[in-house]
Amino acid sequence: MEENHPGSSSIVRDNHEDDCKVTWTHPSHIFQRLIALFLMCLIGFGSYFCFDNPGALQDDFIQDMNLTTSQFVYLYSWYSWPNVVMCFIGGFLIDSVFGIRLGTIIYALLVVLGQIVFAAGAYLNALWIMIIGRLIFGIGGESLAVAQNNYAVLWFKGKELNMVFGFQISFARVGSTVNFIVMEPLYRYVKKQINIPNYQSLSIVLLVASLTCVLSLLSALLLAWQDKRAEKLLHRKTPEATEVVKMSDVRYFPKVFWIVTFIIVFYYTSIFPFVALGKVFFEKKYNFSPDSANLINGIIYIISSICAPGLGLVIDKTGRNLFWVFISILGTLISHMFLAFTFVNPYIAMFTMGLSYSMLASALWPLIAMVIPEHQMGTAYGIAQSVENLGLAVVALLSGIIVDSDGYYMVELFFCLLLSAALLLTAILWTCDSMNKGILNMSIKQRNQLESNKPPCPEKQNLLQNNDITED
Amino acid sequence: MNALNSIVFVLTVFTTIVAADRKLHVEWNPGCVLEDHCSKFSKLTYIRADGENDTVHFVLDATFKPSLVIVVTNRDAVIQVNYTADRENNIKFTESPHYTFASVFNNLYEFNDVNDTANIKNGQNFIKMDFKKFHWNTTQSINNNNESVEILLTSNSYRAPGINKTGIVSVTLKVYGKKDIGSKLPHLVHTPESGELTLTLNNLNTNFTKSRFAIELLTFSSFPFNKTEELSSNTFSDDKLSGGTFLNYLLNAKGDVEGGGFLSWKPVVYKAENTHALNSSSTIQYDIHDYHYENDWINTPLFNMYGNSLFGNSSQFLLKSFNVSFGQPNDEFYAKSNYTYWTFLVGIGAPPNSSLGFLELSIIASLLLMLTITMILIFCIFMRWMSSKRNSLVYGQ
Repeated sequence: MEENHPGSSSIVRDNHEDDCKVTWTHPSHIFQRLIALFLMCLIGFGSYFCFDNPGALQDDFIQDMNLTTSQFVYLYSWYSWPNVVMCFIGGFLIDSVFGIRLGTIIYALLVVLGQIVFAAGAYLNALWIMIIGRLIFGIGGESLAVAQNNYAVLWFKGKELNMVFGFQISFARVGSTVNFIVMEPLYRYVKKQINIPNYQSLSIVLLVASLTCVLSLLSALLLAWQDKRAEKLLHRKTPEATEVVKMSDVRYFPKVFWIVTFIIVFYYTSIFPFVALGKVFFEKKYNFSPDSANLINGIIYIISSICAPGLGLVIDKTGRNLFWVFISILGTLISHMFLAFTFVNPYIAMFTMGLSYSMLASALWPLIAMVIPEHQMGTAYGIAQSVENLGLAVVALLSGIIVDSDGYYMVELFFCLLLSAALLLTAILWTCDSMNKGILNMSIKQRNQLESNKPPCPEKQNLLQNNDITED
Repeated sequence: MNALNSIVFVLTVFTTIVAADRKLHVEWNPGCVLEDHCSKFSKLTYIRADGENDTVHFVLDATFKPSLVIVVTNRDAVIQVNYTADRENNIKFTESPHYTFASVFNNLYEFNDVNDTANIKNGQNFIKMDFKKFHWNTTQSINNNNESVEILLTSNSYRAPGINKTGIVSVTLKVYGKKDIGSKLPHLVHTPESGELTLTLNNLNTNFTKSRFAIELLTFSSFPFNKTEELSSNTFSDDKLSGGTFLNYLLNAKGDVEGGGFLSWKPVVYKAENTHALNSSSTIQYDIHDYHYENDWINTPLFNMYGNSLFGNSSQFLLKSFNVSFGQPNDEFYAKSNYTYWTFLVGIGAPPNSSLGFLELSIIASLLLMLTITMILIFCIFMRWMSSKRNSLVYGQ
């Protein structure tokens, strides 16, 4: 599941607390906010848990439903296709059409529905029904993440917002990790207990997994009630639709933005499709049991859930984003090379990949905010995520075809090639940046100096005055 | 001294024939005048692979136990089979063979894998089926312009008291006149001095719901190469040819020098005619043992070539056996598909290795190119950073 970033969420007015002392039942009390935070985290748990269900049961899907790897990856590519568009309109629908409460409930409902259709497809041994299920799930899943961010801004802006985002990401990664750990034993248990065809056992397991989505839906309902109550008690005004994605803005985007977007695409397409196909790779190449293969495959998410906040802090303290992006991509490339060319304990490669992945998320995405003015941020993040989804859909399909025709070695070479392209683009970006003001790779101290020396400028002016950094 | 000369000679021959093409000729019961008469006693397929300096003879015999004997001789040597004489020593060559290596399908085992370990050592209720008691027929012979030859032996009946087996057991031999790869997964790499043997168990009725099959293979290696045989495995990264299999087993008959016979296989079986990675399961291979049980060796063409010299203390041949079982835990046993396909290479000389293809080389070259440009750019950035540091120190900027 792709990274989601609050940059694309709508701006919401600050809510003012009453100065008087409040009881624990009052929405502005810390207890109420903690409950809201817990519910926000739960909202995303189901979709993150179910997103990688196919990856955790890859060989079971392939054997029980008699699929080729090329067919199996449809389950991922059809998740991504709708999000090429939904990245733009998901947030807009929340802001302008449904409102945050109804929007969240609708998206959570879509996630439940998508997962149930997915399970029904497995029960009927019909791949096309499963694909429809994944498509519905994809529409709901990505937009639900946007809704989750909006809720966070609404409840925590000006308070503990960064920590809240950190919690949400960590909780999402816990969802992915739990999926990789429990799905295979659960499948074996169902297969052992119920004497039905294997693909129907698969559908039962997927249906059980859909309970996590139901849990998310319940959380969405509870949070909607809590938010409605807070709105009433705090006399909070419904936020206006402040930001609409304007495609016409695209022509003002500097080249730097497009380079960053392509780095995002090349990087993440070497991570998510790899995780989707990783289980069988570890079973075949390293002779791992299905459980161990799932564990090592999910290690990226485990590391991310633990280390992401700490590594984010490192970047907050040091700056030098391009340096960290370069190191992260290089680390991931070395990991993939180890997996492609050697039989060295794969935990070393996966641990490095997990650290690099966590580091990159904190270092790469803020680059967009550095080169795009605030009023175009939503469009910029929307486009970046849209292109990323397009890349993921295409690369997932290609990876499946390559595995079927040429094996895992070739697909690993393909991932190495993508990462080399990302590394080269980073070097080009770094070169361009260093030939100019070096904004993207400044230390925090230099950045603060620049900010303090800068004359007050209009809101719409960005750090680069809408010019490419290659131009003087 | 003679042995040493022989080693040097054959090594020279092997060195010169590496990767050289050979012309193939196929004959059914070679030298037989009255085919109807010969067929009653002999089911011999003979493939002659002529190189520039020597000839490799492939003798596939299905008279008793299906066996493949590979013999290296001088180029002009001709096989001579005396169909009217006793079996002992009735197959000869006009010139003494330099080296002989053989592989024999000895027994097929069915066992009840109650604990689903796929390991024959944990099996129960063994049923032993002697390969000679299958009724073998040569049903197909494909000769592709003397460049490749494919022989198919099949049996649809097993005659032995107390064992009732229906279904088709078949053995296929493929020989290529030049270095090439097998047409089906796991695409074994062939040399002109090797042949690919495939065993297929199709729709065999089983005695247990958790039945698995295993085979016992015999190997024969003649003086002077081998002092012993060893089973080794090696891993490889490129699974382009093997479709998700990264391991190769090699049973090598070698002594002080390389160049003896070998068996080579990937530990993979396929559970459907379409040999695709998703239909695959594994093999387990077991230790090699000395095998001097005369009754089994007598039922092979080696007895026709070497007679009683195979046996006794003065025997200078290595007679070995080992087992391979088919399947892996949780693959739902033979009954899931009622089909097993296992293939291995039998040959002499250096075991073949696969090489990098054009596509792999192109990708690796592009990768290296991009990394080189990246490193140059990073070096430039570093130099620029160093010079700006120096300037800031000098000018206090």
